[in-house]
Amino acid sequence: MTILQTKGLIKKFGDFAALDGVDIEVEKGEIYGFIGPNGAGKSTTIRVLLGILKATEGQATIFGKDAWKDAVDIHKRVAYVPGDVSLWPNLTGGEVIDLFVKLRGGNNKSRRDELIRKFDLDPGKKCRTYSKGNRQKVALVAAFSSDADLYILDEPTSGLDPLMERVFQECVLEAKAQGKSILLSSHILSEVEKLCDKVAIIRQGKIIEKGTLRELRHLTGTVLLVETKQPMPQLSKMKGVAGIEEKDGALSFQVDADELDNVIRYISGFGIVRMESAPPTLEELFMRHYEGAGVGGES
Amino acid sequence: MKSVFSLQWQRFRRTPAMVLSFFAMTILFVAMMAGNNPAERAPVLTYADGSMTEQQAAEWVELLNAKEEFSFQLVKEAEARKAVSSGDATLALYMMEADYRLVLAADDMSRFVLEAFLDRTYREELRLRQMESQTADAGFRERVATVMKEPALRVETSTLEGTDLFQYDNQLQLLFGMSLFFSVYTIMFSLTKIVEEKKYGTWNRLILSPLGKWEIYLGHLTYSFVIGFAQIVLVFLLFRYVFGFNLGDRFAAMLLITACYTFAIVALSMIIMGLVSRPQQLQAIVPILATGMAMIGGAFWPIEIVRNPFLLAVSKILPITYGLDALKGVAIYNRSWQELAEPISIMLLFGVVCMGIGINLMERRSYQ
Repeated sequence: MTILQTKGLIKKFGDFAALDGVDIEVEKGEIYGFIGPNGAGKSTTIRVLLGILKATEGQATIFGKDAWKDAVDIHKRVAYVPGDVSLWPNLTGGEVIDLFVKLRGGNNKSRRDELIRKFDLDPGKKCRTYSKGNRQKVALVAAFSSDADLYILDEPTSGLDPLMERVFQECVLEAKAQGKSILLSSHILSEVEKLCDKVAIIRQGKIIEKGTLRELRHLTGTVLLVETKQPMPQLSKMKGVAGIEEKDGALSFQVDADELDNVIRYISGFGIVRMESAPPTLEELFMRHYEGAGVGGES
Repeated sequence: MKSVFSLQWQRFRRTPAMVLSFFAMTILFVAMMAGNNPAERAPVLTYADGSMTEQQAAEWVELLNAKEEFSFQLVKEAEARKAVSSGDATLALYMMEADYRLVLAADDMSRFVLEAFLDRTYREELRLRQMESQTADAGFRERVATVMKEPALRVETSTLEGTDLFQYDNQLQLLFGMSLFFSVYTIMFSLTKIVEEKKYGTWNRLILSPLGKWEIYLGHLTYSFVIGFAQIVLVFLLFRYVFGFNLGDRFAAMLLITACYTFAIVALSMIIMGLVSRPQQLQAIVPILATGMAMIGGAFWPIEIVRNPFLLAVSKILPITYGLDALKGVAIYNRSWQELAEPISIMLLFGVVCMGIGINLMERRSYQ
C-alpha cells in the first residue's frame, strides 16, 4: 500500500527549477532513505510534501490525498522532524512536547516520559537554553510520542551524539515494526544504510537512482580485492571492471554484477592467492554518482 | 485554535511585563492627569477689580467654588499677574462687578472649559440678581433653590447639525483617551508574535500540525482581542469603583463599544503585520501609529476643539475617533442605541475590511 508518492514533481523559483521531475514512492511499513548533497532538492521535496510549498507541476500525494489541498488532513497523521528545530524560547522543552502532542490530539504520557528518559532530555529547561542537539531531541520525542502513520524526518540526527543516534535508530525501527512508514532524509549514509529498505538519490532536483540497497548494489557492482601469483595485464580492459587501485600488493576494483562471472574466470587463470569481496557501501555508491559530476541547486 | 490560544497565554505568563506595563501606564496617566478628586487641581488664582469690596469679591469666589468644578483662590492682583507671567499658573481670573476677564500668558486648552463654566455661572447669578432686585420677596433665593430641584421644564439643547452641545468632562476624556491609546500598544505588540513566529520558524511548526491556518490566526487574534479588551475594561472598572469616576449607568453599552473598538484595532494590526517582515520594524511603527492615531482621533484632547478640516477628515478614518465618540456618547451624552449604531457599525466595518486585507497581505508574503 502506497503511503507517499510523488509523480513528476517540479518546483520552480522563477526560472530556476529546484525540483525537476521527482518521483518517489514510500510503501506502508517501509523506511525510505532520501539522500543527496546540499542544495540537491531534498528539503524542497519535503516542503512540498508537507504542504508548505506548492508544486509548480506534478503530483504529490500522502495517504492518497493531495499534499497541498489536503495538507491539514494529512498533518493529522504525519509527524515531522526538521534538521534545524525552531522552538518557543520562553517555554520549557516539556511544555513544547505537550503542546505538540496536544495539537495532534494524543495523550500518551507514559510513552512521552519513556522517550524523554531514553533521549536523556531535561524537559524542565527553557528552550532558549537548549543546544541544537537538545532542540532536536524535543522534536524527536514529540514526533515519536505521537501516533503518526508517517514520519518525515529531515536530517533529524545532525546535532545528536552517537549514543543518541543509536536511540534514534531504535525508535525508527520500533515505528517500522508497528507498521509505520518513514521518509528519512539524511547526510549520515551509514545511518541510512543501516535503517532504510529503499533509497533514492537526488541530484540537481532529479532522482538519479532509486531502489532497494540490493538493487542499487546490483546496478553498481561488487568491490573485489584480489592478489594473484602472476600479474593480470588485461584486467583494466575487461568489460565491467572499473576503479582499479593497488593496495598492499593486491588489486582492488569494482565489477559490474552481470560481468562478475567473466571476470572471476579471467582472474582464476593467474593463480589466486587472496580474494576478498564486499558489497559497496552506500557511501561508495553515493560517491560514485557524485564524483566528477557537478553538484548544485537550491534546497 | 484552543491550543494556539492557550499557547499565547502560556507565553504571556512567562513574560507579562509588557502587557502589565501598558496597563499600569494607563492607570498612571489617567490618575496623574485627571486626578481622582477635582479639588486637588491647582486653584485658579482670582483677583477682584478695585471697584468691588472685599466682601463682594469673597461672595463671588464662594459662589464659584460652590459648584466644585474648579477651585478659585482669591489673591492680590500683583500676585496673580506675577504667577501668570512667570508661568507658575496657566491663567488667572480677573473679577469685575458684573463681568470677568481671563488673564493669559499663552493660550491654553483648559481655558475653554473654564470659560464655559464662568460664562454659565455668571449668567445665572446675574439673572438671579436682576430678578431679586425687581421683587420684594425676601425669601426669593430659597424659593428659587426649591423650584430648581424640581424644574417645571427640562430643556434639551441641540445644535443645528443635530449634534450634542459640546460638554467637556476632563476625567472621562482622559480615561477614555488613555485607555484606548494604550490598548493599541498592547494589541499590536501582542500580535507581533505572529511576525516573530514567522521569522523564527515556529509558525511552520504550527502549520505542520493538524491545525488549519485559520485556526492558528484565530488563536492569535482571539488572544490579542481578549488581552486588549480586558485591559480597557479593567481600567474602566478600576476608575469607576476605586477612583469614583462617573461612567454613567450603561456599562453594557460601554462593553459593546469597547469590544467593537478592540476588534477594529486587532484588524488594523493585521494589516501592519502583513506589511512588515521583521519584529524590529514593528517597534518603530507601532509607537508612531498609536500616538498619531491618538492625537488625530481625539484621545489626548477633545476632537470637538479641533478646527483644522484636514485633521478632522483624517480622524474620520480612524477607529479611535469612533470609539471615543461612542464611549462619550454613552457616558456623557447618554445617547440612544440608534445614535450609537453609527460609530459602532463603522468600527465593525473597518474591522472586517482591515482583517480581510491584513490576512491577504500576510498570506501573500508567506508564499512569495
